[in-house]
Amino acid sequence: MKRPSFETIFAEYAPRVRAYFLRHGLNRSLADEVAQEVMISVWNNSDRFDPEKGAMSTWVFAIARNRLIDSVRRTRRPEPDPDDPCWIGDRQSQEPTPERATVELSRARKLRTALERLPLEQRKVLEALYFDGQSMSELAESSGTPLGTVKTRARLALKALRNHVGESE
Amino acid sequence: MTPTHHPYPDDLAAYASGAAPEWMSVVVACHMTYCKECRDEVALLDELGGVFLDSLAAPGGAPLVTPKEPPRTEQAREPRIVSDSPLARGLPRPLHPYFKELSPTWRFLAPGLKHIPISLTVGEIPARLIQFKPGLVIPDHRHLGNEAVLVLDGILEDTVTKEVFHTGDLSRRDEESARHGNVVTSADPCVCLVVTDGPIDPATMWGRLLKALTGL
Repeated sequence: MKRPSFETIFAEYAPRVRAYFLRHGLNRSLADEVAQEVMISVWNNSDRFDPEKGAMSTWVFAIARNRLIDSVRRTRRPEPDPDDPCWIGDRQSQEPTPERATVELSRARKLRTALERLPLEQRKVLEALYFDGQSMSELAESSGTPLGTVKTRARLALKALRNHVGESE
Repeated sequence: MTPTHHPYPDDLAAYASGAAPEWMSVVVACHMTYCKECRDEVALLDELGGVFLDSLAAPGGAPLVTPKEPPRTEQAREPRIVSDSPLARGLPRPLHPYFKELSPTWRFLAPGLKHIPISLTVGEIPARLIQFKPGLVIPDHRHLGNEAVLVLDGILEDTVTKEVFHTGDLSRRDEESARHGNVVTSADPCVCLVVTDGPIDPATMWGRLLKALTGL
């Protein structure tokens, strides 16, 4: 697997990560600073990524989100641990393999296609809930949409994505 | 046994987007330890976050200066805080950093109830790890805020809805939920993570007493 250069990763993601932080209310200089830190963290872990865009975005998003939680919101977000004796279900390793990268890339492509096919109002609901961090009632209020409609749109949109990504897996 | 009672969709969304308060993240991460369905859901939401990140247009303004390629340093992962005491091994790891002692022990809380104090509060209200004795009845009450009761061992039944909660199941209520109560139906004590962000409104004298004793 060819490792992308730092310049490539930076050019591709730093502006997006900065846009993400600006969207979450950071001022320009702080957004620049935190975006740089995220890119260094991405670089230090870059051998875990598939060089092609897609599979990598999930990782960059997770690192940026976790940085937002740690440094800006100053709170913690524990994650489940597959080595936990309490764990139920498969303990699929998260370690990268070429096979895994291919599967992830194919999933990312499918997800992108599925998202593009959704009605605009459903896509907007997903973006507000899962990317911007609004709650359903906040979204209902800010968009002047009944709460029930927001819930239905979110449920239908997620179902469509799951169905599409799950196809032929 | 696979859990059948899950967090609210809003909880998973908040966990995935990073908007969740700490108590909710702890509850969701503990539930996910038992629940493959929710792990898959959160993985999908992470991927969705990646796709949205890709779709962000670069904002105007000064372009970011690409720093020189930094030396790649092996990033030390933050060591997980894990307690290896026999009691702790039965409790999901996302809880472990919140134990006040390395080897937690049960302490008396009220008749029929023991607890392990943990360093997680929601506003002024402490989250609690509670052990209920078999047969214990939690009288009918209503919630004036959020409540999350995650069963970690034993069986808890809802006396009103008749729902049955096994290990990994989450009983999630809020101010819009109807009045309800619980009873421990397992032969062994029932261990739960109990988190509330608002007071409860007990319907009975025993309920008011329990509320006063437990501070819930």
